[in-house]
Amino acid sequence: MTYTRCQLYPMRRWTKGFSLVEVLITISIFAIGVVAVASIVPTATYLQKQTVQDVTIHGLSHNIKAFLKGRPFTYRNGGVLDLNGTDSEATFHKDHVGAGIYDYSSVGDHVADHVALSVAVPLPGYVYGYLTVNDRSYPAVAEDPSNRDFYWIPLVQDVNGDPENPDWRVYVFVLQGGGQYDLSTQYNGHEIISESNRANPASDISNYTDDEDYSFFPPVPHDMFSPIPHVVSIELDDPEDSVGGLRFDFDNRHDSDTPKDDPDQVRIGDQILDSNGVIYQVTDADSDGVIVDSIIRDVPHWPNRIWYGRPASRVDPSPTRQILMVTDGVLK
Amino acid sequence: MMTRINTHSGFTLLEVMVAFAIATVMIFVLQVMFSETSSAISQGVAISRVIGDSRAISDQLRRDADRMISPSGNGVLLIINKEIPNVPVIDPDGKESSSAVVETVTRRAVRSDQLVYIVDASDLEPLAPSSKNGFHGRGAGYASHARIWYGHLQQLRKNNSSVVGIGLGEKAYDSDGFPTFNPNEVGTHWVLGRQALFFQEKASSGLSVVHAKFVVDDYYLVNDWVGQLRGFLDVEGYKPLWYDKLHFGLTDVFAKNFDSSNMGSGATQWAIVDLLDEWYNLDESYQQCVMGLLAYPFNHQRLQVSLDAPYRSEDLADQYKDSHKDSLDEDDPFLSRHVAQMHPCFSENVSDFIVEFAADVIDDAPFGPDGEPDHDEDGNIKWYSHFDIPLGNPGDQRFLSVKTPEYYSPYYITENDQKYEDVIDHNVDAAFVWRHNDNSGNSHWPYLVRIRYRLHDKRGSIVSHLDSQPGRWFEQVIQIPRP
Repeated sequence: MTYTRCQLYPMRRWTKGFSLVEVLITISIFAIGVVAVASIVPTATYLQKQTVQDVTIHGLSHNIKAFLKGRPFTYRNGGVLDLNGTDSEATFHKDHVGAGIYDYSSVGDHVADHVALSVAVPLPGYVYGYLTVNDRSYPAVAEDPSNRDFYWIPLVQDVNGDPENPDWRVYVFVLQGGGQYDLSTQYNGHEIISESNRANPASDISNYTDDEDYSFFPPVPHDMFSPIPHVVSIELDDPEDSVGGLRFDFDNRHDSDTPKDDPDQVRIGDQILDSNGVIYQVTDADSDGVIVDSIIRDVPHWPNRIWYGRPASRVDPSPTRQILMVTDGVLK
Repeated sequence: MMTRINTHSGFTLLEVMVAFAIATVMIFVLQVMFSETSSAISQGVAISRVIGDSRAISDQLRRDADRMISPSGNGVLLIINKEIPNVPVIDPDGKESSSAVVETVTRRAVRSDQLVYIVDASDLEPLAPSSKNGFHGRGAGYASHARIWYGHLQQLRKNNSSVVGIGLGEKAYDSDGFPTFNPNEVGTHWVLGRQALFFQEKASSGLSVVHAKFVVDDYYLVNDWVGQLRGFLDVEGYKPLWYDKLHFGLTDVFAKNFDSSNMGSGATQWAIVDLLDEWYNLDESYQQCVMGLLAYPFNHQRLQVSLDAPYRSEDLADQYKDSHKDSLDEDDPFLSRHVAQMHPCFSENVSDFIVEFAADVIDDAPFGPDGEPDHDEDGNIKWYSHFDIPLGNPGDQRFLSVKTPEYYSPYYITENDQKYEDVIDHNVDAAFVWRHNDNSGNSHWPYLVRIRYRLHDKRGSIVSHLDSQPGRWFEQVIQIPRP
């Protein structure tokens, strides 16, 4: 007589082992869990890196203020003195008024000869003799300025526009380095970047290009790169429509490879500066402009352009980490 | 006959092999993952501490700089440069043994500069304990000004004996002949110090004496301490001299009297700023007094401190009392000098501490004097230190050297200059002193001071991405108040 296993061990439930498939499925589920947990580490590392950079930028911002206040530009006779401490023939105010870069005829009665500097503008080239890229980068422990972590670019504004009684304010873009920044001035066949809307001095380009012909703008052709990030401006479309609202309209898509409706210049989270010297945070962006976090005002003028840190390429984030405003003691 | 059929077969060899293979791979992956996670976390903790320390340092530097007195307010500014060669620094791959003797080190030159200036002390309080058994200071009364000092400290051994200077690498031995840990041997363990020394007005200057009573013996009144440091009289049976009180951090109040009519050798009523003017008339002991008050350039001798801090918490205090009960008085559990010695400890694990300055030094056209800091041919700011000592026009005073018989001559000190032999013996590469009476519109005071320091974690595991050396660099630029 034969007995089955169940008959021999009636109280013991017959079981079989896991199949290989079951084990593999289990391991797969376990692996997914492990990977999920493990992914916390690089995220935490990234956040910590961001925190370290934020702390570094906090310290750098104080250094920048010390630089600007401990070594103020000398303003005299309607102009900023040049490197040798003498009056420049082309004084600061006259530079911008005479060049006709800023046409405020539409502003009406507020237009005056000296109104030009009441908007934020780059420092003139000869003043940049005081602020070489070596002095405008951090940390100096890295001997070669092109290998440094952060760079800063100042813009200046005489808020009341009165050369006899200037009311200076300096805005500083703190930019993160580490990339190779495209120096091209033309996109989609038309000029985007010109001398008037690049805040960096020409030396930031000429020092990092082998060909001396590229020390002047414009144009800079494609395939020219610099390790120094750049601050540029772009003119607004219908600036009067911006006032009272939250949207700046401008060409926010420069590269034809960028998807049609996507921005490739200013994106969500970026900080920008308008020509009135107001700092905004971008809350939304598309290829035709951005929405900012506070009401756009027309004081002292209708804003006609915005300044921003130009991404290294269409897929890179903005290099701008902070925009500082320094008010006292920057010019004497 | 009954036959049992066992239908429960075991795993096949193939199944077992597959299971082992999977298990092995899993163990390997988990090991790698946890190893990297552990490494990332410990690295993260180390970086967090370093960043925290850097914030503490930069915030204090900034607050002190904001209080700095310009020459118009009788301020004085000193920058002392010193490079110490061949200092062992923990290698990132090295390990520290329990005896703290480093097994794997690299050797390099380490900068150990000092920065000294005078600040408005109206919102500061002295820290040194006011009695032998007390653990807090009292108000400094009319201490209108204080001297701020930054530099490396000289750590004492655990038993506070056999002090060894920074960077000397000297070994010491306990009573059994075994070497004891020299806390100053390894650059990674150096401690950055900060001390505010309060200049308290004396009664004769028209102010009531409301002062901290820093002496344990009431016999010594403040009037007897004019021109002297006030501090503890007894340190476990040892009666320290004034400079011991200073160098051991036992006091942070200095009673002074401003009386410029009574100057010179033997005078008892000085203002610290007058002492600088009268430097060349002072005998050596008073010269040391002045420099002792302003900085610590002598004999590898800095503020001597103990990081053995039993008073950090009540628990630790109890532990300390238990462990020292044989040597401590029942009513005198531990001494306030421990507190005093702890105060100058500002930040641990600071190897390099570099102080440079930007000033309008060069008079040759076209550079100046133009009211701007000097720059090089590329237009970059020139940062001066003992590596790049500014040479002004002959006979022109830019700096007052710390040890010179001549009032206006040389600006710097080099190891080849025999005139400064004493100072060289005393551990200085270069010293720059800006005087309080250099307060004209064309003052030679610097415009900017740049401070660079390298912070480490205790295990020396953090490596700078800039120079691949242990430690992380930080830079701070401070604006100097000019006339």
